[in-house]
Amino acid sequence: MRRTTASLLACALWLYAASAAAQSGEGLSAPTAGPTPAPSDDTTSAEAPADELPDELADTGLPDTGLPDELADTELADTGTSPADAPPESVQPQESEPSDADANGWPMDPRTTAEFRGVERFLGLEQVRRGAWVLDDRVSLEDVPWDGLDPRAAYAPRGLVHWGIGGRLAAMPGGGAGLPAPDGPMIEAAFLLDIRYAQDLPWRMRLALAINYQPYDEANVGGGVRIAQSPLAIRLRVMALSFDLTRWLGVRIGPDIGMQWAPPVSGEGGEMTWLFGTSAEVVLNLLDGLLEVGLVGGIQSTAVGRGTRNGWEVALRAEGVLGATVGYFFE
Amino acid sequence: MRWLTALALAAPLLTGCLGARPIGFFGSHAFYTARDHYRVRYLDGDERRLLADGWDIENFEVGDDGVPDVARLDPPEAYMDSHALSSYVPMRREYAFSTERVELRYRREDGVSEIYARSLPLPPGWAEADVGLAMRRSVLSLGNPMARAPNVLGHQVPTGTVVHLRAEGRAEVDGQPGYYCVFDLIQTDRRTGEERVRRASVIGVRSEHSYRVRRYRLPMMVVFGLITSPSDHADLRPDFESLVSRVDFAPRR
Repeated sequence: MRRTTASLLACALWLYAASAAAQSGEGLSAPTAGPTPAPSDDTTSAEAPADELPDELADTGLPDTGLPDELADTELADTGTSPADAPPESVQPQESEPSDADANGWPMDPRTTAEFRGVERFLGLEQVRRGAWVLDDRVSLEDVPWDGLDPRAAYAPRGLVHWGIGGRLAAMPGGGAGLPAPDGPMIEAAFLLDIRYAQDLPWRMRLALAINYQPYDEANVGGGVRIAQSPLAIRLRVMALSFDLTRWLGVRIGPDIGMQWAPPVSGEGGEMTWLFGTSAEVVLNLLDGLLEVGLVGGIQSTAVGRGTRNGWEVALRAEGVLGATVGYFFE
Repeated sequence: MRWLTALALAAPLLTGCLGARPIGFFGSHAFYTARDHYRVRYLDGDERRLLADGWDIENFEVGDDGVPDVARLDPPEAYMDSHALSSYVPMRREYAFSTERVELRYRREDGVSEIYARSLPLPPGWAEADVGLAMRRSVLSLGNPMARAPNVLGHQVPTGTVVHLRAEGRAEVDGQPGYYCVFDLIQTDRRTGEERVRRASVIGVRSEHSYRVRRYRLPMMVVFGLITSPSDHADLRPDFESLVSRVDFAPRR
């Protein structure tokens, strides 16, 4: 018990001595949890690491190691700078002698930047800008229009979205035996919408809303069966795989989906039915991309009305499309 | 079906091989960058010159008509710079992308003096900073690869190069606020102890446009610079001012 009491007394004495030493600024080396006492001089905490560095390292001017003395005389623009990004007090402008750059006639030297600091504080950024190194010949975009189309590498026509009109003239081979009408010609007129993803990208998207006509006839194929093929169709063409090979050549391919008229046979039947197809184009871009002329090939499902003793029915037959295409776009 | 597959496979290859990397082009009234974020109007109308006599363009091949035509990219280390995209955006896979060191680089007949313009992507820590702070830190970090600072010079600066900042302050290019630094680059030959000093004036402007890399849009800074020997710096400054004064930034789209 005596030993315990003696230990407690010793601890109390040690703590008293330690607190007394801490108040006088000497003694314990362990960090204290209380507030750090303010430095007695104006040196900020940011300067301390730089002061500890050897001179040759301090002269490298790296931000993390402090800044050389000559930089302490200049000002840093403070527009939009967060407090965390703000330089330490040690790099704030101070009055100093002009540097060598002043002899070169530069518009601002450390003395002027120090002046601007005061101006900025009271008049705001716009006024300060008057004192900046202004490099502007005051020629506006209205005076000289922007011409951002590279005549060598960019793709034409200028702009990303264009609309136009187009057409196709094609033979329609195939379709199986017994189709009454000849293999074409198929005539098509279309409203075109062309979308380029970027002016310097060859990729495009081509949409077309087309109406087409092909010869119509009715024939007896024997056994009391008469057939007639579709003369009219309206279709939406989505050519998503579309790109330019150089500035002059374009390649595209995509599906068609639409409706076509399945004609009556001997006055019986007749209805609208689906149309499916796909086609590809290889075109030459002329007139800076406004006019295109090329070849088209593809396949489509042509509706065939079929009249039998039992009534009328519709069937789809695959027919080829091989011909020419033309399109014109408006600026 | 085979043909369709072949076409689908060949299309990206064909379109990717359509020509050299575009850096910019010399249009009817000005030089336009391929990123279309600024232009430099010609010195005197249609002669397609950006600088007075005595300056030759270095990063473009000059065509038969005297107009710079195709960007010069060889040797790559002189004209291209490589970056890790993960330094700019968080991503799992490492992806390196290359940028052109300069969009324009004119060199004086003396072989030393040059005027250049370049655009560079900014890392995230730099993007939010004021342009003055970014410029100052970039300049002071030249020659220190550990600083991982954007290179505002467009040249590889040897490690150990000392930067002596002589003047700095606000600048304004085509109405856009910027910041300029005038500094000396001092390189010392280890064997002979000779010093080689170059004086540079660099103006940095934060662009309203983005530096697009793949699907990412990185913040961008546009830098114009003049590098000379200290004795020629004041004499060549009017040429530099003339070129930068004719810069127009594209309106934000």
